[in-house]
Amino acid sequence: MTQAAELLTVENLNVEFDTYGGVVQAVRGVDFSVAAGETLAIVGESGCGKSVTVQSMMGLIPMPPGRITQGSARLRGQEILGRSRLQGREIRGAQIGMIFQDPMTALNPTMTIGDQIAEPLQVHRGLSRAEAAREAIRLLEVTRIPEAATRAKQYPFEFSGGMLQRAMIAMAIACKPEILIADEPTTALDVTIQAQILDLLQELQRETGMAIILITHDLGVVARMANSVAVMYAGKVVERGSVDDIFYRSAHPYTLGLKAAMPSNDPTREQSLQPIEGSPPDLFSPPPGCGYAPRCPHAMKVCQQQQPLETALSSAETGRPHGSRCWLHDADSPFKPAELHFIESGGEAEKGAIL
Amino acid sequence: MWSFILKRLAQGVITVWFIATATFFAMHNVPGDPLLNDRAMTAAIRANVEAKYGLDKPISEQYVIYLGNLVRGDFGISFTQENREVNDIIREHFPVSATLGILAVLFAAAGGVLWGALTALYRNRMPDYLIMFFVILGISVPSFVIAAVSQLTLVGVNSALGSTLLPVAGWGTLSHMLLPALVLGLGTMAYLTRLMRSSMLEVIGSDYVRTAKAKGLPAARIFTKHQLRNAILPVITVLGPSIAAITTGGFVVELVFAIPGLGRYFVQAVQQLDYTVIMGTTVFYGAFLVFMVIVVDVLYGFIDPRVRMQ
Repeated sequence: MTQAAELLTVENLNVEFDTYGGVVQAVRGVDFSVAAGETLAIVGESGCGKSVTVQSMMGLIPMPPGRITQGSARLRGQEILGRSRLQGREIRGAQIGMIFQDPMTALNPTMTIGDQIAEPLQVHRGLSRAEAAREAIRLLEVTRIPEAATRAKQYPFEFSGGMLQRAMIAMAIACKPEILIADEPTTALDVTIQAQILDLLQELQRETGMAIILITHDLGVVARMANSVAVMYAGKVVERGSVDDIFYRSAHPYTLGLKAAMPSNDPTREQSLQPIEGSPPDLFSPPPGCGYAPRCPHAMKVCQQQQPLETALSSAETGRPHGSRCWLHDADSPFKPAELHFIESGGEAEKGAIL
Repeated sequence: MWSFILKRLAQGVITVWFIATATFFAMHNVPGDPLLNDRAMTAAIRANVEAKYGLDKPISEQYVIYLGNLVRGDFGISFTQENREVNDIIREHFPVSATLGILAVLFAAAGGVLWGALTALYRNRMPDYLIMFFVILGISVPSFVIAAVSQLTLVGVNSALGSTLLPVAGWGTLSHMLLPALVLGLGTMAYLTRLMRSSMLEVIGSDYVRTAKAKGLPAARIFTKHQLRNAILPVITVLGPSIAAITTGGFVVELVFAIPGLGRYFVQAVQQLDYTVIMGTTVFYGAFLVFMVIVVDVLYGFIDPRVRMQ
């Protein structure tokens, strides 16, 4: 599946946590890849392992209790998992920048914004204090913060949430990373500020050509930002493909469920918001079969018993692979690909036919 | 910042006035009076002496006179120590107590921050368990027991060495001060260690430390620039009350180590109902503590920008 242009390739990543209640298998074999200059969105509901996936890759998971049991992540072909702490530091902040969900708590309250942006420059680029401070002001200007020189001397509590997220972005792109990981960057912000932050990310991507890994549960944000999408459920990527594949040729029942659960202001669509019934499986003892089977309207016997493998679907003109981990699409499925359109309508009659 | 300091000082003056008033009336309500001890006390002498000290006047008038003298900085003359001004007693003995107290606070603060940070970094591992064992010991064993035991140990060490490593008691040089200051600061050090440990654990798990890691900073830089400064804030908050605890605890330690501090006069004066010395030492200690708390508050403002701005 790997293409020549892939910048970052993650294969079969498994992460566990030791807790008092037992071992939680938070990430259970995740694969995805990002090409240079493109945006990959990782979507899924809370607790599906989106954040753990990227944070374990970045070495931000405290170990113990966390543990990467299997898998690889290669940046330009170089393995970055399990490297010594020192080498990990050369990647963090330098080759991969990261911004977080809540800018209010993600910045040090007793250090000026300018100093915090200057830090990675001093550490990775070896700039002097004065040079780094000047560059920090320039970065604040790049992220459209007015009166950057004054602002650089202020503390986080003197900034608004949107301004803080801009400062976070300035900090993350300080060393011109090849990849920016944005972990729910707009979840804690007002809707209008959300739009500004997303615009800013897109502009910066156009200017610098960096790849963005965007973690979100907001399909609206995905549609607006992403080139390709990985849909995660219960620690696995259940469907991945180009943004058009995911939205217009959705294959996995979970992706369809997510789409149906999206609120719409389209007057021609009369149906109300349809929630996905039930709750995700307990990751202390993950089910032997597909994690989504208990909630899936199309579940078959095999779904409860065996993990579905990823089936490559005919990818359209986009050239990006489109795959789904669902028994419905397996070669041994009782349905031929052409017959599977019924699941998109999600009707009750068809559901009965399958069971 | 200046208006903040002025406001705190004004509050401090009111606090000291309150301390003086409360002590004054409490003291006069203690049964007995300061002249009971003198044997050759006839009615005539008693009247004379009462007139000399103003004790024959109504208590409200005495209070007004007292406050007037206090404002002028005059604490009066001791009842039991002939012709000795309270001001002289304070001037002579307070520097000794203050030196001991400040040294003890320095020990306590430095030790508390250091051990607390260590236990948090080595959470649930051997160094954590070991330090926390001594912390529990330091909190639960009273200072006079530790003082006596440490003296006994020191005697043993000195005689084993055949020379004096540290003097066992007395006052004068820095070597006299080390052991009493350590003993005096130990309880507070233990308390600050626990506080620092929990504060540091909170900071270690905070979002901004994760951000610092994501920036690829070395662990040493994360510790000094991001963890320590934020974790130390709660410790500084309790430093004011800690100074109070250490100073009052000083009375006992001064006694055990035969240190000529103010504590002895403070305790004796209450036993002998030496009105002027009680008032003088209490108000002076009170004012000193109030001042130290203000100093700590101002210090806090320099470390935490959020306080500075208000």
